[in-house]
Amino acid sequence: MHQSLDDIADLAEEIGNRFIFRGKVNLEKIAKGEHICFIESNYDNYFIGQLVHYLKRFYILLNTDLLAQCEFGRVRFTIAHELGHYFVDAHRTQLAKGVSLSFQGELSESEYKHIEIAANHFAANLLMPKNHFIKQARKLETGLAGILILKAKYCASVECTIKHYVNLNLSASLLIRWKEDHTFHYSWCSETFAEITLIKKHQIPIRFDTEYIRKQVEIIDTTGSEYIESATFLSRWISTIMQGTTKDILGIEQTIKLGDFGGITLLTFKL
Amino acid sequence: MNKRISNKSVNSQQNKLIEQALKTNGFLFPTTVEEVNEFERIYGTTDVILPCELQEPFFLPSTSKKRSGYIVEKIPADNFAMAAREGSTELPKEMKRKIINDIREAQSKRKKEKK
Repeated sequence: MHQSLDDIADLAEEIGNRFIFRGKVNLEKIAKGEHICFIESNYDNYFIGQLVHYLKRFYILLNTDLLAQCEFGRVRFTIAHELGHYFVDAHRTQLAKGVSLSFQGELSESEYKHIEIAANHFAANLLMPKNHFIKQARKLETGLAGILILKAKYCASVECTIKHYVNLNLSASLLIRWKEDHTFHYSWCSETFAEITLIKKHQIPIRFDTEYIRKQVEIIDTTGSEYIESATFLSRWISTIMQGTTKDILGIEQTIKLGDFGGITLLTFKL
Repeated sequence: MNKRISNKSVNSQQNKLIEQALKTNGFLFPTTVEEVNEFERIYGTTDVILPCELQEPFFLPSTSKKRSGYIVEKIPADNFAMAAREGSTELPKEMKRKIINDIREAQSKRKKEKK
């Protein structure tokens, strides 16, 4: 049932390249070409956006109750994500048959997760076509300074751009996503980071300190900065790395808030 | 040996024809696509404006399976299906109805624009 993530990325990149103009992928044009209609309305907090199939047609529903407070990049990511459900064959076929892919439909939780990961992967690669993105990123500074320029260029969300940057292995980097209450959400790292630290990407032993994050947020709020940065040793964040050992390399730690949705701490290491 | 047609089969054929005639002429409810088509050919179609609560067959008792406290509903004829981002685990019927109404509104707007 599932297309590989690499195939999905290739498909998204190919579509993105066809509709890119001055770095921005025209999502409306893509939808129009597929006769997908946009509907904006108030749906409380039941979903942020969704692709609906009804009477042989597809619709992208955008929930203005939730999206009105979001940055434009998040709105675009939502649209790209829904286009992902349309362009991934398995998703579209199921929907056309009348099988819902959410709201505890006929799918198990792990199937639902796979489907969402696939749509997110499609969205990132559609908004920021891989080769185009790599070329641009290599011209810029590593870490958040360059990422924020890329985010503006591709009109994508901060989170999506950072994830794409890490996924494309543009530096040895580790992403730590935390929630609005400053608790740990998830972590992800680049291929190079996993290789040098011998850490499995799916089991990163993060040493997470909620109080530390809360203090970082306080600094961002009081200084009004877009993000803050400092030098850090790897042992500060990875519990299996002992302080002062050869593996305890020095890197840059950058922390950014994602509006009311928590934030990200990004660690980058120059090798 | 000559073939013989029994009275019984003649009667059942006549009954079928009578029933079909009654259905296509509106004296009995037409039950097949052919009967409905024939009825519409004779009498034409009329737009029936249904009240909001009857727009979708949600009022019918669901026969689908119950799973983790949620009733999976399918409307096969419409193939209504959703893929939501960051959605809650359940979507109330009123919200589903609102979505369908929004889609219908969008469809009629589109049709008007085309005209």
